[in-house]
Amino acid sequence: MFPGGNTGLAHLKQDAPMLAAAVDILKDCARVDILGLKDGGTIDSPLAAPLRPQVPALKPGHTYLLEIVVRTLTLGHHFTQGTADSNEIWLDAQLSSEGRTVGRSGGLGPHNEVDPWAHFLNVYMLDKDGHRIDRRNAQDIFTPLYDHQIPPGAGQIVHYTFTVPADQRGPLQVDIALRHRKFDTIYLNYIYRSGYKAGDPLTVSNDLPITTIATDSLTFPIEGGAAPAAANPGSAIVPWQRWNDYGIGLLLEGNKGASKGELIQAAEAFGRVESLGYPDGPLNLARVYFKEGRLDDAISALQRAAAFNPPAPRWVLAWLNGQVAKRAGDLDKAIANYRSIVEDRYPELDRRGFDFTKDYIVLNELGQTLLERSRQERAAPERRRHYLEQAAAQFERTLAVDSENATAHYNLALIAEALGDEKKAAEHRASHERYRVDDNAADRAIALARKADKAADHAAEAIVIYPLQRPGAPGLAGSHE
Amino acid sequence: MNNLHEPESEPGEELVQADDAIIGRAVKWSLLVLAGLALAGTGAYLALRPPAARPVEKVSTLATPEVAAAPAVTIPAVRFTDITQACGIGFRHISGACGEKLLPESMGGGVAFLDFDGDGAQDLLFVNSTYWPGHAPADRPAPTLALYRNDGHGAFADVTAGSGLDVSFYGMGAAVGDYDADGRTDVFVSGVGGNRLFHNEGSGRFRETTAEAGVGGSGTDWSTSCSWLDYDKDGRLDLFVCNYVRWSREIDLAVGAKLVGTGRTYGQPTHFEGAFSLLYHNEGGGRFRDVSAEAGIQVRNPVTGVPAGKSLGVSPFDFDNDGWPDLLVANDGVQNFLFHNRGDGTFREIGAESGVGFDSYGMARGGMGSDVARYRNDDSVGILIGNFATELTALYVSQGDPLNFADETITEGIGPPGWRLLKFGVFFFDYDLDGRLDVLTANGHLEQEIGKIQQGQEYRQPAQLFWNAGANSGKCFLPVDAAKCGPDLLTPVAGRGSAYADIDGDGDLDVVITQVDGAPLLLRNDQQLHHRFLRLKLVGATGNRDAIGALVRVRLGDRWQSRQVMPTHSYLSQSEVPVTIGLGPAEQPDAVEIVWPDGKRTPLVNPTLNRMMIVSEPASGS
Repeated sequence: MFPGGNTGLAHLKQDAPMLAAAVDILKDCARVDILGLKDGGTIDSPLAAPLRPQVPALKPGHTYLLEIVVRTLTLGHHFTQGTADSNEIWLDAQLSSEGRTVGRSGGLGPHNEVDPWAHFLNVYMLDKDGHRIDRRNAQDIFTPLYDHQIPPGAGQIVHYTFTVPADQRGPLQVDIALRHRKFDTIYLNYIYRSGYKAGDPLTVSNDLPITTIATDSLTFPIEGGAAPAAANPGSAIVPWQRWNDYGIGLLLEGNKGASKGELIQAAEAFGRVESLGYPDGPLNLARVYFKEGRLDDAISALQRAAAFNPPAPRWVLAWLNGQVAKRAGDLDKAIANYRSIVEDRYPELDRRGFDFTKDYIVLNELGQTLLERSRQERAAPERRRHYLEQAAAQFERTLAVDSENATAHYNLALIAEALGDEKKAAEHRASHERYRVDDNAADRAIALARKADKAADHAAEAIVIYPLQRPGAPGLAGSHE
Repeated sequence: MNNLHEPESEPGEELVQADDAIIGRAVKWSLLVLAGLALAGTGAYLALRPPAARPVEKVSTLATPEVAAAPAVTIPAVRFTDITQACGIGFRHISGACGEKLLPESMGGGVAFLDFDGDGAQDLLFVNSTYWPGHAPADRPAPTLALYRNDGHGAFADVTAGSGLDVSFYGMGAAVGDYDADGRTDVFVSGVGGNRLFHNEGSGRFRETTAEAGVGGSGTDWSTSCSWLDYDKDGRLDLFVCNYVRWSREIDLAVGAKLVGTGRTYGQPTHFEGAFSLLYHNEGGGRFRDVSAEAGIQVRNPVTGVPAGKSLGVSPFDFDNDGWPDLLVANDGVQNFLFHNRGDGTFREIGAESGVGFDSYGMARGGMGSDVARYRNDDSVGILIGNFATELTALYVSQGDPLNFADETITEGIGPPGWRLLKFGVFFFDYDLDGRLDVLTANGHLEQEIGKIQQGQEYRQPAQLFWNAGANSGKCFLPVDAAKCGPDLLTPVAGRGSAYADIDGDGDLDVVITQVDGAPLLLRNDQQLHHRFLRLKLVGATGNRDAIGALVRVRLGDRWQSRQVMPTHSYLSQSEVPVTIGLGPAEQPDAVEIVWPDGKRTPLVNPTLNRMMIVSEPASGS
């Protein structure tokens, strides 16, 4: 049986070896890092980072942002994929003073349900009427409200805010835990209570095992207060990775409209990586500048990356070279770089087990750039045809891997049209129409969902600041664990 | 092993037995030898065969991008001068923003050049929004539209008071046209929660005729760019009105949109339902009929059946030269529409199949303003659409087949320089009168706090001017910097609408750019390139008095310039109706031809150059 992280099934079957295997896969598949602190409580407040072994003293009465980074380690795919709608993964953040809980997000309620205002790392999936897919009713899946999955080997940033009480004297301890449970409490109520429907009060407790994937912890002294019993140990994570993971989390934070992430903050983080001597620094700076539309700055960063010692990974450099060159209008350069990813062979690729010949993201970009290039040959029909045919070849390779790839179908329709093959153009157009994203899907569903669930509404923005001192938060009054 | 010492037997038997033994021995040895040979053979093969083929190593040289060198072409030097205050324009757009971050606050308003008093000078109408209900400051007058009369030399007088246009409502865009053919230009203003039609009564007075005309909309629409056009060629101007999204304050506030994790920001159009746009047929007698459904301009999502469009820009144009005006509609976050006029009162939507619907990856973009023109001075047609920040401006160019387009924005040089900016108003215009259409984009972000999270992205952004170098291969459009157009044109603004007109009567085209919640920029073109020009004001013989939809065609050598008589360009705005055609250094055009809206062609012999010429449509039969 494919083990995955299915602790739920193991528990229901009372299969201890299966449970142990599932826990083993989950444990340390990701790590958590209390990376930084912002005095002022807003994302543009000054940053103190990386925390540990030095940590700043907190000032009574001040509001702070905690910058937490979650980073995947062992997966070759997004964390978690699969049944991402029903996997329950969340951050449990606790602020305590002399054993008393003074801040909590992600605690458990009376039926072991997770605090709805916690940061969840799965997908909040909706049906077409904006109701959450809450009982594995996959047939109703329509559009996501938010998708907090983490790409492989990437970081995710989570912000928490808290205010130090004006009379605080003793040190404040921060504990962060990344927790996993196979099914949430609402789903269990559907299962075990007949006639249960969404919104009904919970009556069944969730006794499925909770796996703690990773934890992190540190203690802040208070300005003018008693010193903590012991100094914080240093972080186990090497400094350049702490900055790089933080920067990646900030870069990936948003991808729609004006919400492109915290790009100024990401650039600062990657600048640190560069000064620490790692090529990821200038490579990732190029990504930030590209996302901001700063083409000239992206070019400078890539030139630094190309000359860096130790050298930047060739395939990443080639990819970013291609992206930037294409956007700058230097199509031949873009084509050469994309081709190098798909066609080059050298021992390091074999060592890493990479085969980019099937990378249809690159194939599509190569094809698209060849199509653009054909448009520069208006006066030379034979050369134009040559580029069009080369472009078509790339998109055909994409379809051999992903037959429903909308971008490939769209471009093949354009190419067929340009080559005078009306029938083929119509076929590919029909396929594009069938497989492309429905741009109206979010129109109703999102607004309805956000109106109905204010916690999800809060978590659905690109940049989210989670409160640690929300009145009524489970675990804050010191009840459950 | 055979036993040779067999018990005693008969001599014949002995021989047979001995033969058996010999044969057995021979077979045994043969088998051993064969086995040995086989082993040796295999061994030899294994030792001597060629090694397994390894993939051939290939390591390309990676070429790093470089900052593009300046083009070898010399861009002519002109200067645009900011004369907004100097010429008497005190207008300030009021969005009504009071902290709730309601989406309409970020999207307005438009501007129209029009000759409302018929004296030949281009006057100005600014569209204003207003305060939200319950938030009007007690100590200030309610904001209204603003009408400025041009004295003919570029000085403007505020004649709003008492004009009938001094009304306060949440306006968005404008469309100017003489809908009742009485010789005076009327004004339609679109808005949030109701559109308005104003009939030009003469003597600087307008009368609101919305109700009797029947063009107010549902009362809850959010209407944006709009245009007068005679879609059924019955000689009367009809009206197309873009609708954006289904909006109300309650719908807007239901989503807790934030930009920086705190406070509130403007929602995204993807969180609002689409809306059908409106087409009104001019029935005559000042009345209109809503023909949206029967005309086929109501586009539904093919799967869910909901209204698909979120329309912000419209450009009427006869793409396939069949004499019937089609409609390009720019949508925000969904595919663009191309309504092909079937000539029978109906349209067929062909945006996707014609190639203007999506970007190069087959995905929708945030389209705002639009314009259409034959900018290469050949048969090909270019469609310009302003898109969101870090989306390329679209330049769809027809590919032989007039209803088949490809986005050539990268090749033609428009896309990359403007990629970073948030592009609202876009139009083609020949600013240096060399006979090639240039481009101006009016830009500005939506989020005032964008600088907190994105470096190099500001709320206020400079406009961008592109000079048409006319290159046959390679980039057609070259970005123009302050050294070649003056710094005023590039003043950072929260730009929205834009329009062009010759306001001072010197022949070259001046521009106006509106700013949300701020003052506009009126820029006088002070070029001194001494190019000749043709400037025509057409007068139609029938109901379409301005000959909207007519074409002016001018031949210089073997090149034809073709311009449509149509004030609708850009975003929420209207440019002047007269057509200006630059002749460059040529003494005079080789040929001029007018194609009237009904298809009639008339040559213009010995046209007057370098000043306005009025050309009247010959009566039918002459």
